[in-house]
Amino acid sequence: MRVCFTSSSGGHFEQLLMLKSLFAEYDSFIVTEKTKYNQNFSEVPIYFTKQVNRQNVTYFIAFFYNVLFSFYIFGVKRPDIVVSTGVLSTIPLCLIAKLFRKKVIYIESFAKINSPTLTGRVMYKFADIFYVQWPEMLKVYPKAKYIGGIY
Amino acid sequence: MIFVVLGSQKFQFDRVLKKIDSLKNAGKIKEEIIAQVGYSNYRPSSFENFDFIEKEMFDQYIEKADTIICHGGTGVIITALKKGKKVIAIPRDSKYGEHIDDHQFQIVALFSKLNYLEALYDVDDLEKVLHRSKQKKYRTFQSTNAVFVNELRKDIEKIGKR
Repeated sequence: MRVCFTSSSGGHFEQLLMLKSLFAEYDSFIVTEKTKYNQNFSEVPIYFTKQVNRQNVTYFIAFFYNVLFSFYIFGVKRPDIVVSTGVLSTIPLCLIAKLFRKKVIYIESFAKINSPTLTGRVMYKFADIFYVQWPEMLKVYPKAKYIGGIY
Repeated sequence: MIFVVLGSQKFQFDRVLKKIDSLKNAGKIKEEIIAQVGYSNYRPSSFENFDFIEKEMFDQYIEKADTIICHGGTGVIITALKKGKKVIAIPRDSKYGEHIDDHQFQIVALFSKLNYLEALYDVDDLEKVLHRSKQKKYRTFQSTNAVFVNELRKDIEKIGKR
């Protein structure tokens, strides 16, 4: 089974790395945002999207690049499942996977304790399985799954 | 040693650096300080600092430090707590242009309520909070990672089968 593990940078990538023990169990690869600091990771193939944040005026260009790049990666790698720990930069890949009838597991961030992320709200509609990491978040996402935190 | 960790977001967090710099310069903090400042603009003069370092070095500094002063990012908070470090967390505030929103307040407030760390909202309280953290006992972080990974594995096996 080929599994794509994807996230944006910072805490989201940290959370993705908490799933490290699963990487070796599948034909895995990682898609995450390119940052200035070194994401030294050699265990599985890693591909970089452009860092997007909504405050940057050029974020739309970066996002558009990521859409194209995600199509390319998806076409080349053909994952059966996409597992995302959020946020924005992982939306294209998740939606492309759904478009091609593949499965998506979305994990809402550990940092969100009582309100959703924008990406979470979008992905709640599309994800096959949606995890939250705090019991209070079940009020926001009633059909989500809660079994504790990723850390 | 104090390790200051301000995260990877493309926003400055100058008010924290300025405060620590002035406390260090005034001799109010005697310990060695090292800082990872990320995208901040202010450059402290009284202690060693850098934008980013490789993960191995980062981990070494975490290991070496007694106290971590950090932004309200989950990555650094959990990493520090798992190592049993004293943590002083300052949430990035959008009104100072430190983030796009105020979500860091959520984790910092909750973790402070659960007695995992010290929450710092006004940097002027830093000296006081730093002093308090040295006396106080905090709760140990219990990982639920193994449970989470097992459940996720079951889901992957289940929905991955066609």
